[in-house]
Amino acid sequence: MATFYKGAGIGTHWHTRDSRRVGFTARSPATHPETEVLINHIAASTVNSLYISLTRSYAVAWHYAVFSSKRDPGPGKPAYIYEIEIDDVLPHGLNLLDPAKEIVHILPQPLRGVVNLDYMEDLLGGQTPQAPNVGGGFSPGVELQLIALTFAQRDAEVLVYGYIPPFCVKHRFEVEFSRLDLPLS
Amino acid sequence: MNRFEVRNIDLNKVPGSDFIEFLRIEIPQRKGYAPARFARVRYALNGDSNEQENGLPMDLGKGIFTATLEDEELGEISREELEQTLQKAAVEIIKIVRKELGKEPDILGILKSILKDYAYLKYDELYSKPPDVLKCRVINVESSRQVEDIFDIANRLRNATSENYIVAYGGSSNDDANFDKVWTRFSLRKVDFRDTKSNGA
Repeated sequence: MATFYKGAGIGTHWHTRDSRRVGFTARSPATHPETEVLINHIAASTVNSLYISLTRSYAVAWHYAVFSSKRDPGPGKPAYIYEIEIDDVLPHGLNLLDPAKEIVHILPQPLRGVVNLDYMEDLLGGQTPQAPNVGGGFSPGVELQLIALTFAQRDAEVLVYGYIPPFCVKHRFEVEFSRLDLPLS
Repeated sequence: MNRFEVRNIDLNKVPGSDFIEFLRIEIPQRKGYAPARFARVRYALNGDSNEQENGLPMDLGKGIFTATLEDEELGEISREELEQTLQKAAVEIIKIVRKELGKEPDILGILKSILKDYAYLKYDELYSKPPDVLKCRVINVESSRQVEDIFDIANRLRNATSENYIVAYGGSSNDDANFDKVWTRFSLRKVDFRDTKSNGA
């Protein structure tokens, strides 16, 4: 049994739909799964995607719920964090994908293991300087793969391909936000 | 005490459309820490200069909007037109935000902001050489203190400025004292590891 979370900010798709009743479906479930589509889903958060993003981290879900809201969640108008439990024996029609595994296998050999999370921790947590020569560096394809890999790690992201049935959605936590209680990073 | 602030950056140079005008972006930031990875763009609709109650959230890392307008807000503009406008605007907004956030951080100002949480400490104007060497000292030697406080301050400064610091602390004590609790001064010396790589990179 593994536990996952999904933050739903005020005014977003999964805030207006109660997944405890309807489960989670992708916006374009009929599309064929491909690694390039998966990379675009993570790097550019494609709206019409066949994947559903979850996170292993409650803190990441909290940030998505609170800061992806169209207004500050407060008393009487909270944002939501869904807690989802998925059994080791996956429900029919549900596939779990680890983005790191999906992306790493298509990276050129010397780049495997390039991301040292301990060393990069504070860079991943904040704004990072951008290279001034946007045309240089890796080829666009490899760059996008690395970007997706980095964001997947940032968000402890796991992707679902298929349908998450309502019985997997165990809780919907209500979260409010006061500008006084931003958690220490 | 409000330890949280919102940084506002003006977006009046971002091209919008007759339908939507981008006004400003709010970036939440805990004082003494790096900005959050999410922000909220404030906008006006249909030529009305009044800011809408809702904002459009952005992921600053990915450079994208993470939500869009409701159907009832669209008016005569199509969903497709709106999304194209938002995509173009996101690129420009991120350029502006990175430029603003990329400006040299006010290291001394940030340190002084952090020190507000440590009432027993004072920035040492006399012996510091900002921004490379920052020194602080204990105001009242009777105050309770831990050496971990120094490293917490250094970590917070590092997170807020993306600079690395070597920490040194000192003071005078007798043989029985636990020096980690009786130190009276410390220094943070900025160091650039990129200059010391041995592999020639």
